[in-house]
Amino acid sequence: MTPPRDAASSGRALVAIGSTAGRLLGAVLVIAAWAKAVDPQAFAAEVSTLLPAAGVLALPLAVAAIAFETGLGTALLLGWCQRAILLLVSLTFAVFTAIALGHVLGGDSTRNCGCFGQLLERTPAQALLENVAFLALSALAWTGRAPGRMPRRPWLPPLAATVAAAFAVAAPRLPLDDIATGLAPGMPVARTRLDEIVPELATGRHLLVLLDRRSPDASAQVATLNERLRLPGGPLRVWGIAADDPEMAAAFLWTAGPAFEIRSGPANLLRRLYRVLPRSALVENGRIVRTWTGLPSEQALDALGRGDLP
Amino acid sequence: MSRVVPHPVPWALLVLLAAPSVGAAPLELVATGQFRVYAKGSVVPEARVYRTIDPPAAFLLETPLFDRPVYVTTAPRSARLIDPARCIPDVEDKDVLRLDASGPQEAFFAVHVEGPRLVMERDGVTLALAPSPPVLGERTLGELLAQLPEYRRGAARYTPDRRALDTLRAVGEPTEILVFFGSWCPHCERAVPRLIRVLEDIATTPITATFHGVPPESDLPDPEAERYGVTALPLAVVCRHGQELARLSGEHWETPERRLAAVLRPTAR
Repeated sequence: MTPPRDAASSGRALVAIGSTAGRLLGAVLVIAAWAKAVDPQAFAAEVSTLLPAAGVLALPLAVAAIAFETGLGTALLLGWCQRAILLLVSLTFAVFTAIALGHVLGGDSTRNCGCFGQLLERTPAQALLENVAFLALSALAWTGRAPGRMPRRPWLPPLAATVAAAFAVAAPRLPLDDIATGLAPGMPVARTRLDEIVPELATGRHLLVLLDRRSPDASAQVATLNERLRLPGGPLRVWGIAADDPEMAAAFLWTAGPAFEIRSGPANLLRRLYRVLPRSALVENGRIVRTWTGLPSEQALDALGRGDLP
Repeated sequence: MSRVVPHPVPWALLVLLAAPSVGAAPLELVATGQFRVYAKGSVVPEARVYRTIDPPAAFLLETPLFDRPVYVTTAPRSARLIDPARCIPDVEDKDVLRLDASGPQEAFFAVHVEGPRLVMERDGVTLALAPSPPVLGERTLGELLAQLPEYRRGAARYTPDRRALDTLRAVGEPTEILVFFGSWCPHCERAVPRLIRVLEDIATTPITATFHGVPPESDLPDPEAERYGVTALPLAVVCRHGQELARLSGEHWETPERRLAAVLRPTAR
């Protein structure tokens, strides 16, 4: 017969395991929320894909989801293990799992999962496995269930949620592109996969401009580049990169008249490299040395046009 | 997105002042299958389209609708008839010609844009230059080169590694290569001709290739490409007796013959 002390200690171990599982899930939720908060428009686009009826509400819904994940994650990190909290966690990960399953059953093996914003690139199958693991972890967290007494610091999760929402709203205006995207100084071009679109980047100096050919400002941006960099010719090779769309590419060729080559790439590959378009980067011998939100300034373009580094 | 360009004098003056080709070295143009000429809403099958190799994009259209070629520039946007004597075909490569765009800047078209079409009007004739529909589905090498002559030029300019070719020439077992490409994909235009050159150089071996054109991302998905899990173009799948041996992707395309030789070497005699 097992002594009562052993039963008590194994019970404590279960509670500890459950509590650890809860804190792990809390960390996952907070990291995922902040990864999405740095680029809320990208997350809003994911919401629109998932809920086409959301329309103009996609961005507010995205911000609300970021706030919810942050609040729930903070509560779990604080060790809150009440029934209501655990129920919310299990439901949340069940919903994530269902979404990932939908993507897998949808048959698009190339789609990137947006659960961690642009921070991680995973296929739907990888995202499904990950969410199943999190769902299992949320079931384990129930073993750490605490009695329904008043938790410690009850004001902290709502505060964290509010801060996350405010940050998500302000993020597009904050200079976070190098942190929030896969295009940052010091990074080899191969890591961005832009070398698959422009293999010439491996050697020499190049200015890359990620463009939105549908933007009404795009023609003026092309004219600025043509003029300031003295194209064609000049000391710098310039490449425009835009999402695949042959008909749009032709229309843009006729209307904008770029004096540099614009190559097309898969939209989901490019989306990880910007928050707003255009975005520019200076590349030297296969490595990104400088980035700009928008086009480089006129002074920087003039310097590049002279063959100098801005 | 339609903007009519005044015809013809102010535009001619602008071109005289701004056209980079005036007084410059001859432009090198290559025959392309990626653009077509339309008249009255239909393709002009006899028309031949050349485009510049280096930016800014410019085109030369040989059509039965005019007795002279039409020279089209994009930066600035213009179209005019040009003296055929200024278009010199390359003696070694029938798909390449050199154009001297200097001389009289006259015989302009009225030009405007209608979506993906550049519409040109002159002497009561309306022409349009627009991208060809993507090449989709399976194509033999001959069919591919007929549709995309620019691939032929890329193949002619590539020099494969001789040792790798020797290894491939020793391959005795039938080997099939399925090449996924996009006719709209500039990277494919650079990479696939290298493999074409290799295939031409080992034409006597039992190594054969089929080319599969994939639609752009904005169009419907391609079931064959999905079946093979194609996530980046171009991609070549090397098979023997129905079994996949290897794939060529990414940097393999720099020297496809070396990758093929490495994959097929064990069976070489």
